[in-house]
Amino acid sequence: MKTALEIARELVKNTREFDAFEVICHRDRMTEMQIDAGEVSLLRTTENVNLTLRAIHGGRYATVDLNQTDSGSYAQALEKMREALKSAPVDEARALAPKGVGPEKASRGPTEPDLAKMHDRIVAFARGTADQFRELKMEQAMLQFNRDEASRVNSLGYESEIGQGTYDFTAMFSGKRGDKTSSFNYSGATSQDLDRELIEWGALKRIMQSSIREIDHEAFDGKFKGQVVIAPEAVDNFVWPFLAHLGDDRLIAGTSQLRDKMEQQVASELLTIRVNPERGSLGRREFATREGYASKKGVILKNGVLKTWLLSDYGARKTGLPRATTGAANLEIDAGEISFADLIKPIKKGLLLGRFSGGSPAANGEISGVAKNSYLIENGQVTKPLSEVMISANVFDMLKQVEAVSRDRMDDGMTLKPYIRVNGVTVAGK
Amino acid sequence: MDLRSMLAEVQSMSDGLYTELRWQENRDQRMSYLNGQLTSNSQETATGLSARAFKEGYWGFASRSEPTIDSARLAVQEAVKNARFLGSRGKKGGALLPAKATSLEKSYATTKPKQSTGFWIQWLKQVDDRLLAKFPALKARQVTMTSLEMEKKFVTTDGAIVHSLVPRAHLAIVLTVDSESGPVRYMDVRGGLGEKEDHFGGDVNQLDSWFDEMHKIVQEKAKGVMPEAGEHEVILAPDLAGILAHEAVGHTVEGDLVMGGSVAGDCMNQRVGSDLVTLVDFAHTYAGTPAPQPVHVDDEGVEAKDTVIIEKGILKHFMNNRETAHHFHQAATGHARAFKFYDEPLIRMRNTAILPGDASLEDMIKSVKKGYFLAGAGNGQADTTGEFMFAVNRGYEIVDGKLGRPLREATISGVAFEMLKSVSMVSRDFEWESSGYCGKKQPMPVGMGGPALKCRVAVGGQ
Repeated sequence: MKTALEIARELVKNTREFDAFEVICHRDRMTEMQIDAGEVSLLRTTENVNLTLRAIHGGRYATVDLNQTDSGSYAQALEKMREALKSAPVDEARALAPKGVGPEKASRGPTEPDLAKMHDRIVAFARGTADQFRELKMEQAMLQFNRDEASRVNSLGYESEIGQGTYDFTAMFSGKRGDKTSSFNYSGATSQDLDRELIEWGALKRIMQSSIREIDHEAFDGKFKGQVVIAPEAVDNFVWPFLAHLGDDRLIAGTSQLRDKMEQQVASELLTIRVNPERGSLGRREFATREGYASKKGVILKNGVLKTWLLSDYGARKTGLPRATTGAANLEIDAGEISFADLIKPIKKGLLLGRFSGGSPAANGEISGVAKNSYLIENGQVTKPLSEVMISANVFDMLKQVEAVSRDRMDDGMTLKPYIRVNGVTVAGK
Repeated sequence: MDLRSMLAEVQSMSDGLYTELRWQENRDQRMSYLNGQLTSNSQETATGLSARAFKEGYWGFASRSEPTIDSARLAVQEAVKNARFLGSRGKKGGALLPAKATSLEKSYATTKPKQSTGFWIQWLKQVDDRLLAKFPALKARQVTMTSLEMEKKFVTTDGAIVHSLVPRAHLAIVLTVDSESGPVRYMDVRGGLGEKEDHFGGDVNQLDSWFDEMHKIVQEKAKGVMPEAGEHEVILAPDLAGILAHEAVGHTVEGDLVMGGSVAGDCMNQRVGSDLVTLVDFAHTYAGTPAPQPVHVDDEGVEAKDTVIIEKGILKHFMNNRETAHHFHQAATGHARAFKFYDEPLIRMRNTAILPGDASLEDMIKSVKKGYFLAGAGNGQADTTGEFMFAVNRGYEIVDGKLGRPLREATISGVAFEMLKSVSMVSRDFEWESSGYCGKKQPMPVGMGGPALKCRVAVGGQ
């Protein structure tokens, strides 16, 4: 069987009709064991190959994806490519990654699944959680082994070859006692090995314990504007809508709220957001951006000051702003200096937000949704789990009103995130 | 891939286990103009086959991307091996509801001449040019055309033989204007079951009334107010009733989620809504015409039938696959569907709708002293508790029975079975929403529909 690199090389070598041409070839294998309603029920193994063809001709650009490597399918894909290119408008901002900008050849993580150990681990998880958390209803849990061999070759001399194997685990559950049930919650993490019991991965144990406490939730009937502590697993809901304003879509459309803010204070000085694909303990590492540029360490916000755009090379050419030197998958938010207890101590009345079920934020950053798996904070103590409570805020104002960041961070194998205390959030019950 | 060869293969290689073998091809296309620039011009074809075998409560599944008979053989062997691997290490036990052998050949492919990619790129450009000519002051405009064709060939050791092709195509337009509080967007989508040729490709000037309506709404939103946070009496437009049927109720009655602890598990044959609420998951046809996502036979070989979930406020049925149907002693009505060839079938909704009543929308608005009229569904999420949330694209205050100031954005939430009990009027209108993907391990195209509802929900705002 040909490797992904051999396939990509051969196709680029034999396809000379375009001004610039690139093939990205993925060979993926996945092994999955799944728990349904508390019991292991499925063993699923998949193999797939995917080819992404990218061509530029006469300043026109198109992509075609297929998952067959035979000559007939490839010829059909090229025909689609010619047709798509013919009618595309000229766009001089399109370019392929040149030679030398990609990541070095790498192979990381296991190449084969340890099937017996996967089974041992997931059975131990099912039995362990049933014994330790008798009021927890395990709806579904999935342990996957994923191996991806990815190669990118183009007519400018660019070549990269990256192999990565990971174990990925996710569990979804709720607390249940009699006819009372908590909101469902989920958690997961990514790892290079199966050395630890699955219950020790990421924040699983803490979140499962919380689900049982949340069986006794009470509807919130008040309304206030004030302090909210965002749990690490809910931080993405507010950070990503903010980061979206640093990317292609908003900057090209001219609707970014951060367009003229480079090197300016756009968030609290307590907030530093980095990208670190070089952390040794990463479960899954992002080696390259979607266009093939090596993903490097970088700082997006330094003490609240905007330091970099998250633009692709295409976005950079369209906007005249610099291209990002990093992807954003391996995000890190710097830890603060205080404990969780100290973080909530000054709050007279506030909310601990465990999960956010919300709509997409409006173009100006306004966002609202339901606070799930959340708790009332009164006089510096987490007092009771709540239901039927909605929150609303503006993400730009929210990140300016960060008051404290916790010392402890959640490590899910991809990212590092702390608890963050913010102010100015509207919290409303029935 | 020939269906008869597939059937012979699965019957000879399944080693006595119930086994499915499916060939599937998904064909996707996406073209998008952002401010006149073609920012997306892509096509994707994913072809392959998979097998799934059942042994005493354990499923083995395997897939291969090469669509050959040799691959089919390997996939069946591996699926059987996977089921036996789990079976040799546990004593789960379990059974499937038997299904009678079903045979089906059904295609919703267009009967019109197919246009080239080049034609559609040019046509989209005309749409974009028309928007620019009509509304030069827009801050941004995005015009996106997407299409998906799902073709499946499917056999089971029970003797099912199925070949189906279900396409859908949509045109989404996003208009952005500036306001005092920053940019404001409005998105609307048209299209549905069928291919691009069935919905689009004509004179773009014929879309003017749609564009004018969108432009009016986005300008209103720019001057709109935030709603007052808290519980309110509201009129939900038909497109919101559809997402309500899907998110708030539909997910809680999926058999696998019921087994996982969903609140609906304790409510069978109990009152969960007012007398005015009847909720049905339609298989393939509504009022004599095809529903947005027709399913005639599901991916377990079960003939798909309409499922009455709630009848006049009483919970009557879950949505099942063959395994949960056996567990709950209910009928299997064809809800098992897989998204791509390498996906296993899950319990999925098809065309979930609240049935219309006899009120007029005008009378419903008149009956509200203080509240909101809400329309235009955004994204939504459900919970095992029945608590739901979805984003609302547009809305108006209602004061003394009349529409008042427009809203900028809103999110609404409630607890499904409490909220359904608050339904006091149901309109005679009915609309399908067809562009949505449901997310549940795998994405899946679904249809959602309903009339306008008068009810009480929590509104997120200031």
